[in-house]
Amino acid sequence: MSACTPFRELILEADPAELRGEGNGALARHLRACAPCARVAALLLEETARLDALLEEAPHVDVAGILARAGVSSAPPAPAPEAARSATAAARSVPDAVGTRFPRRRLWIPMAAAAALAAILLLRVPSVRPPRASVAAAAERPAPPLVEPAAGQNAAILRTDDPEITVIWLFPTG
Amino acid sequence: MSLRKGPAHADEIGPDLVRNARDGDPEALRELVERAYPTVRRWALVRTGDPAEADDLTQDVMVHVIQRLDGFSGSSRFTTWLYTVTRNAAIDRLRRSNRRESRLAEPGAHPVVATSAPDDPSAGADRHHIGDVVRAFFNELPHRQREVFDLAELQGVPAAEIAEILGIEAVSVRAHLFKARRTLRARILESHPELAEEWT
Repeated sequence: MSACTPFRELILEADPAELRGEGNGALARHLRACAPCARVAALLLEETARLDALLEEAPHVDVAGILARAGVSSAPPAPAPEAARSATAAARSVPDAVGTRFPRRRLWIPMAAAAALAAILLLRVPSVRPPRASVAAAAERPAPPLVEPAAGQNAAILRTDDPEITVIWLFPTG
Repeated sequence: MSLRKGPAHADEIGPDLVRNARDGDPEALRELVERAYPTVRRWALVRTGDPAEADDLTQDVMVHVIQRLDGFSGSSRFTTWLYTVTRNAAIDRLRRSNRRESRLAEPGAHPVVATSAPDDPSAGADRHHIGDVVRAFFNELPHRQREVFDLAELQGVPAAEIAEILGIEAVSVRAHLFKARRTLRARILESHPELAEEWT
């Protein structure tokens, strides 16, 4: 049995400081005196440092993108048309189980827009006329249809300037 | 106590910054994201083992953090809360991914980490390749060992603090650390045949 044998077991579990030969422990003393074992220890430290560097590499942080995804904009919000404001008010009436403030509310706006666009496209398939959705013009028309959402749901009514098109979006309250 | 590297960014997130961000201050939100991102990204990479997956997970976590800031009561350190959010998001993402895979592939199939064989003559020659190999060895460790090894060995976080972050006993932290060290170092040495003669 080589004099190094017991230390090779220790090398596998030693603290990095010991691998660097620091201190007066048996392993550290051995590493300062034994070139082959010191090479092994140095290799392990080198590979560990390489792993650290690989884990530390982080891509550029797209802060604006993250904030946008969260429904937050650093720019001041544009004034909303009356109908859109009522839609936002409908979103505000949704109970927020986790007590979140503005981010989820703002998130609702692009979701509502996407839902409205999808509904318009579905309803207008036979027509070649591009969909129009001026909620401001729609706000001047009479009361919207009565909608009774099921338990656990809420409803948003989005009128357009086309009298044939009213978008009703049902969404969970949770 | 402060975390040495990546988490040091998140450690700079104090209660004032969290409060201002929660109140909708855009500058505070931006600052919070900038400070938390590197920490979360590193944790996500340790957790997933895949850079692209880590990027996606980090984005999910950051969005979640912004939307759930009210969930941070301030009774624990922000990094502890941040770690919990990251871990839960990772578990949720993995669960969804597994469900998707189970519909597309046969059950029980796991991605295989490609590494060089111990007797690969090219091993030890290419530095970048070696980096990949070390990362592959690291990714083969159980996730808890990866988490502990990263926090303790690479970032120098004390065992007691890791225990708090991970919600485990300090003695378990040390056990995971020793297992991870032993496995990883043995694998590294196996991949260096030039040292095999000296070592065996």
